[in-house]
Amino acid sequence: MELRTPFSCRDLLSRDLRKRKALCRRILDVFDSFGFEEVSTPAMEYYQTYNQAFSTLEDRRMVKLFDEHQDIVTLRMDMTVPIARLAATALNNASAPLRLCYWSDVWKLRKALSGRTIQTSDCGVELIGSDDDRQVLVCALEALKASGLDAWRLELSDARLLQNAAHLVFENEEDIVTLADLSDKKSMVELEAFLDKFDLGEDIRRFFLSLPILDGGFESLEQARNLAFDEGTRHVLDELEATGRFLESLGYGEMIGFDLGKLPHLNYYTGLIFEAFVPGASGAVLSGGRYDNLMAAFGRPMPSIGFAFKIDPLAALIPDQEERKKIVVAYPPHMAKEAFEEAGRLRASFAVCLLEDAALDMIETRMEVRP
Amino acid sequence: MSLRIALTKGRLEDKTLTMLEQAGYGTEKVRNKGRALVLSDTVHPIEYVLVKSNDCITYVEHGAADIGVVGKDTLLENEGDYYEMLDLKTGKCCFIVAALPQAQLFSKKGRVRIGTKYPHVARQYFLSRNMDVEIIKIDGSVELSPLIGLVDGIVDIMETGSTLKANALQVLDVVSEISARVIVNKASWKLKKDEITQVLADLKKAVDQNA
Repeated sequence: MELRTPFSCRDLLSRDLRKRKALCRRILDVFDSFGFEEVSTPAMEYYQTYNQAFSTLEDRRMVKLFDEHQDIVTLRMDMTVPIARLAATALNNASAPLRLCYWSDVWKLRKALSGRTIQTSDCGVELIGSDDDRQVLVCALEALKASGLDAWRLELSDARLLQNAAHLVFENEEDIVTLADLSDKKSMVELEAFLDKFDLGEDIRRFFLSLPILDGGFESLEQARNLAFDEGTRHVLDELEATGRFLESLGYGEMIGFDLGKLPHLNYYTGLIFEAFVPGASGAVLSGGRYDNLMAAFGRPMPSIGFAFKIDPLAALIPDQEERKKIVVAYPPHMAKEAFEEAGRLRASFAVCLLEDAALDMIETRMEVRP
Repeated sequence: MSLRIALTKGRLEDKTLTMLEQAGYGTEKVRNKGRALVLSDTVHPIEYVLVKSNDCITYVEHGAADIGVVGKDTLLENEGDYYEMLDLKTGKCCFIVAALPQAQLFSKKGRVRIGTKYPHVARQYFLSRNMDVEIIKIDGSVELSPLIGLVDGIVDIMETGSTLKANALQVLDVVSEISARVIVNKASWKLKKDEITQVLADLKKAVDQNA
């Protein structure tokens, strides 16, 4: 019998666990101070729930099981869909906006032997029934501040930038998906080859070729405005600029930037999208955005926005805390009562372990380093 | 901030170094590497590591290297999480389908057996043609597998085509063109944007000079 964990799942030992708990406590405290209420949902959801939520579901990355009626059940692959389901059912009668937050594990299948685990920990918020982006952004910025990292950067974009422009130019939905995919991967070589297949005006070509690499400060919005070939896109850029300026006026100017080439989850995000990057982590440690269509798919149309921290890469960046000590109270069998009483008193200020030792004549106490 | 660049050993190594030299980078230590594994640039604050092609992607994906230079063949076979930002237009070759003329690969009825080092590329290609294929992974010289009756055809990289010709194998189709590409770690792109943009611009200039 081989004893091992399935997929690339891992056990967490005390040191890691305490780091995560401390990190998430700090983040959840910020969420709480913004009035978000913590909830927990089952590890499993019906496949049908996810299928209803996403028009393009990454179903090959879901862990699937069957329930007693042979319906397909999946381990939840994110927390937004379960919380949206909760908002549409158990909180059906609660008045909007709903402010919910969580710290939960999610599962997504990964390529084997790639050094990534399928079970990861997300900590985030969902603001359901509100079209206010700004308070959620400020909450993300404050949580980043509280996370204990030295340096980070929050980058904003808008899912409509590519969607609007692409729908004006391409008729075929498949082409738009390809365009979004190549842009998201900043696959500049293939993107150019793809655009060459169509008879496009030079301004349109230049816009789509520039969008993926347009990132930086407010100047990148100006560049995009000059490249935009339609009013709708300019309007979206104005909104982004206003949001950025507002955050700047609150003193967050140094921490924010724009990445207009960020184009994840086509057909899911409907407006603002954002991600945070930290030196030392190989991907975004926080991501989120506005998803105004999701609640409608669950029969309760409401504009919504949310984000989540990825706790695994973040926790790996938090330095080990200082050594912890415990007191060991060793005692001979006939002095057990006294030893337990002594341990009880010491526990008011220390961690205390008891150790029966027949070789002893009297109680001995000593300090030890905890693992 | 310094950059770490993962270069692919072997076929692309000399070509990539030549382009870096053309762009004014100091690659002497890489040229005379001996047994050292991490080599510094003599002009810019850059470290080079020489790695196998598949590892190049892995190192970049995890951010252990900020930039990687790797063949499109490897990128096509291993889809991953990185930005593919520049075509160096060197190390050019292509993925081809080849078979012995008598194999009648595209008109054969029923399941076709294909030998390849690139099972993912091969599967995608035949899926797009709605053909029923069984892919057999071969690690050594793939050209051998149809000659001794293991498979009906192969999907492989072709540089000059001389091995194929010497063994009477016919090229039936080009699956895709291949050349050396520059890939970039997603977080590095955010956090070391200026340095990375500079390297990309320098290399782009070299690409344009060679055009």
